[in-house]
Amino acid sequence: MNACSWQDEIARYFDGEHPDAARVEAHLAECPACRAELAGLRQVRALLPPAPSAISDAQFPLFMEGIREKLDAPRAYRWRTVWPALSFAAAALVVAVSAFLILGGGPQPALANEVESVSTELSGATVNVYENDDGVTTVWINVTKDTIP
Amino acid sequence: MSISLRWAVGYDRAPVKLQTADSAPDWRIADDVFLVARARDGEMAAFEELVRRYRNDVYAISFHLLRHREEAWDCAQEAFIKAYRSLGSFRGDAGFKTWLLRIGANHAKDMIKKRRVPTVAFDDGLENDPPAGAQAPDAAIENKELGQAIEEAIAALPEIHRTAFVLREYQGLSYQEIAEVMGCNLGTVMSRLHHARRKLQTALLNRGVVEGDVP
Repeated sequence: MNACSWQDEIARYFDGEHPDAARVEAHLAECPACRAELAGLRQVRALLPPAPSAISDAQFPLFMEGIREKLDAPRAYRWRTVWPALSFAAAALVVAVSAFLILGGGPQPALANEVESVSTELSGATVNVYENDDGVTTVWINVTKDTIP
Repeated sequence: MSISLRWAVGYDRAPVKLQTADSAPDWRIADDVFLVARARDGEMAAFEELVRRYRNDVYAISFHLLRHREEAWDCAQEAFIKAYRSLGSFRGDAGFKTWLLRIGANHAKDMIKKRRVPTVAFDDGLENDPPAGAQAPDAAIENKELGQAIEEAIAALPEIHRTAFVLREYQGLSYQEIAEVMGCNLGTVMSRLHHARRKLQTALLNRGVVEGDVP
């Protein structure tokens, strides 16, 4: 390990990032540890394999076509971006329906009338009261032909 | 025959002659700022030129992070798609290449996180073609083994160290540009490079590839 305090300076010099290369070079002339440090950095760089295979000019049309296809395809909606809008729409719908019901909008459902008693002055007439499941009450009066005035 | 020229104006760079009355625009001579502006306006040919220019940079960083050719191809495509959809947010304070590499690196990291099964890169031989010119068989094998040893050492680096190292050594980015791509400060860039190089030196020493003391 390079015990010299110039270690970071050497790395910056090696990468061409040091603002005072001449000062570093003067130090290198006097410091074997830093010279070894620099040599080690150069050794690694020299041994690096070449860059991975590039996308050649021949492959480029295929590469670009893939990009175009994905840009042209309808985007799959991501819940993370759509959910807030859906949540708002659902909440708005609930509020609207609630307001409609509370404020009494629209025709009220028919309320069934309970028949408590039935009477008639027609002699011989009979009265039947029917009530179905919908709450509709039917009063059925049976009279004979003679009863009708 | 008279030819009228249409000039690109309105940018902080010298106007660029792009088109004559009788020809299609030559996007190859337009600079990135102009191409981005045109692409933002929906000019796909301008965006295609940007893809042409930087496809290998994006592919390279994708490959070095993913260590898989097909995934790197997909990653590079997705990076350009994300870039196209985000052109409105590109402010131009950083270079377009730097901005693009950041998108590519971030997408590669996302792909790594989504992997259910660790991917092991295989050597199909296509990326280690021997250089033109005859090489003695032993030397060719030795070089191939050496290259493989270094690639394995690079692949074994932690992701943040590997990213900094690849951006410096293969993309030739400055410390400042690396900081912009990785979203960190200069000191962190230098630290990550230092750690990457130390690990590589140690790995190469342990394999007997290089001689010297352990750093």
